[in-house]
Amino acid sequence: MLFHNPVFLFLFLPIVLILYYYTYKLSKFAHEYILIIAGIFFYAWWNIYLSPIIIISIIFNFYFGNLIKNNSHKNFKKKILFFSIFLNILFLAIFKYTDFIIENINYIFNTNLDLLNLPFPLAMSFFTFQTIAYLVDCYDGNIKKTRFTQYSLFIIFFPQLIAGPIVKYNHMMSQFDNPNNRSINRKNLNLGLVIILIGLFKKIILADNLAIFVENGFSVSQNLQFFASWLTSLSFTFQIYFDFSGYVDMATGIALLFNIRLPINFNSPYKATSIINFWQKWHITLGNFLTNYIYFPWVKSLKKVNFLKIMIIIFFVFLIAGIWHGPSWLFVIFGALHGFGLITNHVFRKFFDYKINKYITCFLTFNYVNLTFIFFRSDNLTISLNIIKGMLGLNGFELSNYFDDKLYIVVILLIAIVVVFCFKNTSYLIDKFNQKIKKKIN
Amino acid sequence: MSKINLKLIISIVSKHIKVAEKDININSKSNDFYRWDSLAQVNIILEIEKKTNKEISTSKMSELTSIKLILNHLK
Repeated sequence: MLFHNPVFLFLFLPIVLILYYYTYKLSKFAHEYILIIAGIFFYAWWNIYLSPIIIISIIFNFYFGNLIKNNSHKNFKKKILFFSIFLNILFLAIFKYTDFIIENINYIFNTNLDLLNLPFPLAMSFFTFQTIAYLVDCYDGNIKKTRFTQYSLFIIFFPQLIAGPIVKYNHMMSQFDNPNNRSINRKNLNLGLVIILIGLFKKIILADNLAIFVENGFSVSQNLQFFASWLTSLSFTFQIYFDFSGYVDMATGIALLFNIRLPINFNSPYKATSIINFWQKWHITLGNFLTNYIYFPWVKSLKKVNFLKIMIIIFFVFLIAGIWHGPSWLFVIFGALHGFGLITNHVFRKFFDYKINKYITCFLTFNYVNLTFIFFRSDNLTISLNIIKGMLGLNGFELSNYFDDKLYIVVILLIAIVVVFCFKNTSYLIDKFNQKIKKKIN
Repeated sequence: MSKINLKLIISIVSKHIKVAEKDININSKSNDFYRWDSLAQVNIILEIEKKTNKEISTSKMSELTSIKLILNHLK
């Protein structure tokens, strides 16, 4: 069930909201049960036979978390932490990467092993990362007591279950445990509805229309000339942003209806002035996860830290980020290009002591990101290279009749450009709204 | 244990973000300086750990994004 599905918007969500606000008098923890049952139902709607996977993951990781928290032997805790993280990654790898590994073995060793065609459980990449963050936080002593229903709710809270943001336990629990959040807050309700509408606009009007053009362009990549190639790649760059950020906006808005604030995940990423800056603005919670749970521990594990070693680590962290997006070498290339971009930025900052005009850096960064997204979207490397060739003018400059029935896409793209570069983002609107409320209260 | 004071933290941050100490104060945040990125952050934390003999957990590292937060955490 997706957020823009009418069954979700007009049936599921209102019922859950009513139950959430009107059952809190029954029991202190009624809201937890309601949201957990809603989460399981929401998840099972997609595939009822795969839903036990998330429940098994919750049961095991709750147990591992307690084992880590309740033990005073640091070495034992560390072993349990590594074992539980290993199991989670193995679990993810089995479902997500088995066929990818088999394909590569077949290619390298010229074998003919059958693919397993395992179904991929929805949201597994997200809840695996969220679980790892929880286990590490247990190890670091950041999480004290946890009830099973609290942990279950943390994993299965449906607004952020499918596409993030990747949340931290303490951030969520402090809100779920706050009794004030269990009564209707009209301001949050209004703001939540506005944000859901913004998200729906981004997703349905912008992303879904751009997707048709993108699909068409990528399927005839060998015929695309200069203008069509640029329009195709730019359309995808905007499509992915509006698709993802639109969905996150809807998640943020829906969570607000329950008086829960999700962390900001996009902060005008296409206005970034470097790749470093881009990752401070794009999928922020993924960036934070990679920084907190891979990059920092890896750097700290070095006996001697130097610039070169850190750059190598950054590159590998982004290879991981790339493959996390999906089982394909094109995602690895996407990650590698971003790793390379980050290293270039860091080298520039370290060895050159001057600042370039921010409009120039923004232009360069946007175009580099646009280039990397070609690999993200393509089904194979040939398609990526065809589009890049077209963008370089190697396939010609004719406008031809390619655009005859697609002129509307230029209009959608122009709207997208205006929205991205001329408007404030959703998190700014939320902040502004909160400031206004604070001023009124004071 | 080394003495943890504002001056020490400012001098470490100043060194890694290449900004004069006089331009940094207790209210300074990472967002105020474009060189205070994840690379600077890791170097700042590693040096603070070294100079104060206090270990900072990796899950806390990225949260210490201002002079005030670093000081409060070390107290």
